[in-house]
Amino acid sequence: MLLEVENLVVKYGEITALSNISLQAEEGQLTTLIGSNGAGKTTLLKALSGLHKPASGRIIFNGKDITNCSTDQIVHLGISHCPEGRRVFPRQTVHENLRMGAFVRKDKDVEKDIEKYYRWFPRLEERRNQKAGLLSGGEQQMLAISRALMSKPKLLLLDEPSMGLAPLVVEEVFKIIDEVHAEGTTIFLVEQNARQALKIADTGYILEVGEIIGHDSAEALLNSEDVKKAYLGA
Amino acid sequence: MFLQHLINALSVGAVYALLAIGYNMVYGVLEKLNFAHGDVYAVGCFVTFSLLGGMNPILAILIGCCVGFILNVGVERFAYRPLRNSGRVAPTISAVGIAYIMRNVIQLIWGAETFSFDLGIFKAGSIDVGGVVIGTLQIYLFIIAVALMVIISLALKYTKWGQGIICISQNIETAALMGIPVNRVIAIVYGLGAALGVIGGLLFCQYYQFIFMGIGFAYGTMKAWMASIWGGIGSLKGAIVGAMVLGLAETMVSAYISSTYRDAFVWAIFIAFIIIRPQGMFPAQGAEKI
Repeated sequence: MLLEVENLVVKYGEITALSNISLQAEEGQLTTLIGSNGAGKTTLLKALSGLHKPASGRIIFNGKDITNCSTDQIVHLGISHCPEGRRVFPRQTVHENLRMGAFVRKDKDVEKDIEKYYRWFPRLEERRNQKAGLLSGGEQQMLAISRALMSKPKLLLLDEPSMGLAPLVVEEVFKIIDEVHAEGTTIFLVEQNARQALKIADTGYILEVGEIIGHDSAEALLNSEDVKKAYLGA
Repeated sequence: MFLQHLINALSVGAVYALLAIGYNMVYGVLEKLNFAHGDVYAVGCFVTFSLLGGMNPILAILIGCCVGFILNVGVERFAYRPLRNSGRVAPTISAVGIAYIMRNVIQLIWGAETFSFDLGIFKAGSIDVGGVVIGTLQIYLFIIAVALMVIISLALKYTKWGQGIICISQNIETAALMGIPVNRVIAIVYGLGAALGVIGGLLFCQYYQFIFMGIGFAYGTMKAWMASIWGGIGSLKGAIVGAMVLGLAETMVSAYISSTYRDAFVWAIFIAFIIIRPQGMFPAQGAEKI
């Protein structure tokens, strides 16, 4: 198992945001966590990448306990977190943003990998010297995903990549995530857009007000009557 | 005569620019007003001053810079970091507190009197360019200040760690997600800002040929702050241009209005300017922040 979360409790001051979360992500798989707004999805990702320290519980990544590691250590170990709202660096160019994604790398192939993502996203190449703050929402999302991949992570955490994007762009973004997965990257995808997420995922978890209330294969969740009613709007 | 004043303004402006860049770098990473900037580097300047008689002046300057560096790393760690998420008021007050402590440390060790100051590395003299007399000191100051500015802007733009600093100044959390060790980088930026301040402070003392315990606040923090606001806080270009404008305003007011009430006039001009354009001349593109 690449990622194991055991009895994780996360608090904001006195308020418990996540209570007793346990979940796993298997190497090579696309695991998704769906849930409505405010369920605690972003909080979980922040705990995984060390941005918010859990009150108790353990996070095991690649056999190592990373619960108390700092964010930069966690990136070095191979977790890359593409944050909610894209968070590109607006005052830096597209190219500089991609280079920053490779901050932890010491090899010589960084520029070669940037070219690879330019081939994936020709629109980013056209805008390579533009300030990232001037890109459209969809372009920023592609930049954010490419930037997160630039560290060559073993595990990619994606936080609501479809948020605030037009439906056609959402389709495109999910296609890209599917391709990244097909290339062999393990992905943990957090989404409100449950239908799209489950369509490309291998397994899924359902998070509701800080607790995991369901876990199954993505296909089973897609066909479950309860899930359909609560999350798929059917 | 006007040309003469302009030359003076340029060299004073270049020294202010050094102070303002150090101030701005530190401001840029956390966006906290650092009212202790000048008093922290003043300690480094005094250390250099004490060492001057007994050793190579360049070595004395380097030691002063190291003292400034270490001191500000400590200040960041113990007076600012615990308050990083406490809004803007608490760290500002904490900085004012540090400023007073540093000034009193200087008073305790070196006393409150004004000492004459000479680094002893600049040959006195002047050259005559078509009737305009330029002191060689002015030329040295200008060259040193511009060289340091160029090195800093190139390092920020073209090195990995420089770009990392720019990431932190945009969004600390996202910078951490890139694997940048943000706390360490912020501490180093504070240290470098103070080291740069020591150099700027020493050049300032060299220019006016005195040193006293007040150089940090009145001539350092306030000038650096004023230049930064004038140019557009958080932007390197703004700090340089703002410092030049400040040098120009001071020199021209002294020359044509009153040298006794120079500061009052310059502050009045400054206040009028920020009322009209509070974001400064070249503001950092904060508006684009998401």
